[in-house]
Amino acid sequence: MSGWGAIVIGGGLHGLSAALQLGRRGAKVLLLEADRVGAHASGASAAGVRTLGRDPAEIPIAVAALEMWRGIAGLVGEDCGFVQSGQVKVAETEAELAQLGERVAKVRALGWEHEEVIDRAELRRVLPAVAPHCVGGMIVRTDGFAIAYRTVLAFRRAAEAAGVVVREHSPVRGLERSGGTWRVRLDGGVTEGAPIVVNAAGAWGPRVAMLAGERIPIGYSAFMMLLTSPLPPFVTPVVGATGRPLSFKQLASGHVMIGGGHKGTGDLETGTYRLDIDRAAYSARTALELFPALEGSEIVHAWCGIEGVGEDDLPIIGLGRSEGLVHAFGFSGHGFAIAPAVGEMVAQLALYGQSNLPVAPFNPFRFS
Amino acid sequence: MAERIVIVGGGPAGQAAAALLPEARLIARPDETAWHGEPGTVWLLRDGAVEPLGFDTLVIAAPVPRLAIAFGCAMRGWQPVVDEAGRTSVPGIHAAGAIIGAVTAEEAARHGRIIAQSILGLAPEGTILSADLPEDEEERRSLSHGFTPREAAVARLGEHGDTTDLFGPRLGEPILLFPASPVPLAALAARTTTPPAQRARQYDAFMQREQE
Ligand SMILES: Cc1cc2nc3c(=O)[nH]c(=O)nc-3n(C[C@H](O)[C@H](O)[C@H](O)COP(=O)(O)OP(=O)(O)OC[C@H]3O[C@@H](n4cnc5c(N)ncnc54)[C@H](O)[C@@H]3O)c2cc1C
Repeated sequence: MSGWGAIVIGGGLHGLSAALQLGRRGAKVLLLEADRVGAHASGASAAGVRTLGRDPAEIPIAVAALEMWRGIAGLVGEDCGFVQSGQVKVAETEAELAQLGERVAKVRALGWEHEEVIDRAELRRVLPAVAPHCVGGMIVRTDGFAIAYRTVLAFRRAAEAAGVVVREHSPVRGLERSGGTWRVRLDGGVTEGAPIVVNAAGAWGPRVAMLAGERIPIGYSAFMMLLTSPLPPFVTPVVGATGRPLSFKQLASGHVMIGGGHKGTGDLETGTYRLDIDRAAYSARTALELFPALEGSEIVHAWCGIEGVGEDDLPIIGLGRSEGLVHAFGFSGHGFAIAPAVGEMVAQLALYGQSNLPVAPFNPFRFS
Repeated sequence: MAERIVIVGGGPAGQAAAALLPEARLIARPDETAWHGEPGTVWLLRDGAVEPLGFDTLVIAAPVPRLAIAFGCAMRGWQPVVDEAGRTSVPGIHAAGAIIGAVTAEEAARHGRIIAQSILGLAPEGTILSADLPEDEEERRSLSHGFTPREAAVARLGEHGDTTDLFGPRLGEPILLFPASPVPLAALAARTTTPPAQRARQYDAFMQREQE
């Protein structure tokens, strides 16, 4: 027991971001990671930084986070490979284009102006290599992407520079509250104590909540990614499809990253996953149909990241029922982009009991 | 149904095993590549097409650790853990030759024969001692004897572009990567013409037990 101000459980991007923001506010923080930092969703992420197409509940956070990404080097000491390439959702049919038009109108009615509908000619201007059948799309020109593992390492270094102690290979096994302190039980009879605990355990968030006696029984998925051999540059923005799952981008190195929704299977006991080859094949097919330039490429890497997923595809962010407990997990496959802002929200919730950004839609107990 | 035996790798270990197991299907480059696996199935690339091949018994006799990992074989660093008859931790899957640390062709061939003998229920000519591995994890990861995973992977990085920025500076990348070898995107895309149903989210069996 050594007088920590806060203990953060989970060394993904959300745990690191929360730890960084707690550290910057003067708290003495211990971060405990069961495996290695970035070993799950955060290291596996496609790292798209997207305000485009967000659920209205997430828009204020995504917009605030994009502002932080623009100055990310000021926050974590390096640019994390972040580029404002833009993000486009392609319509393959007139019906899909009409659907995108309705979406943009709805978001504008809420007072947000970042999304824009584009016609066939403008789509070809921003995506010269897109297949001829595509009729238009929806764009946010200031969105972009970063490099996932580089970002994780940058947040770790920044957190450590703010005084956070990061301990890997340290799974939390028990949580007990007494006398205003959480006793956090680790392997080998080790116990650490702090008045504040942050549950940022990703897909394992429900298990950690259970250790504190709180039921937040959300599901999880093993989202699948493919990476091609390097190709000459042919696409700048991140591209999604409207009628089928796809997210697609070309990195500075020429590799093309293909993901966007098809799932393998994950095992929370072991932290391992299994690819689903036929679903990976359909991802490859969708990418090829939208971008014939992929024809001669090879898949050099394929992987999954295990991530918690809420019933409404929204994260769990908020105070626990027990005093001194904050939950922030289950980012449902789109939490990378918002991590810088969510770290601030979590630090505010932990220290002041409320957050500057709207947190109500993410109430941990909304499903029970 | 007769037992389906598949041998992956046409090097000395695979050839030696195949010589004693005439019924076995030998997967050897360049005609066929075993690029991925899941329990009971290896995925082949053959004549530019991707196809699954079922097996009951598999001998991994090629330096493709990601294939062993895909089957769930227990690993020590980048080598599958084997017993004295070359059995991995997964029933029905054996590993022979360079992938378990053989440094000469003779030793690899001996591995192949011992595994074949044990599959046939014959008295094996000897035992397999996989290379002694250093205690230190980092050292194990950077082992560099023979035709090692590291060399194979470094060659692959050279050939396919450096991805260390994406997955970390060492081969001990925190995210497990597949496939065991590259596969043409168009060959993969040709497998499926109809959209598969979206897979439903999974639920934690542990949490469900707690609930009951
Ligand atoms: C393949 C893929 C692609 C994605 N693409 C995008 C994208 O383009 N844009 C976007 O915005 N988002 C994307 N996401 C989502 C985003 O990556 C995640 O929302 C985000 O990384 C989640 O971070 P996290 O810290 O909550 O979880 P994780 O990174 O999973 O971290 C949780 C950590 O908690 C640890 N842990 C668990 N239990 C314990 C315990 N008992 N004790 C200690 N530690 C424990 C785990 O080991 C793990 O490291 C993607 C996700 C995946 C998987």
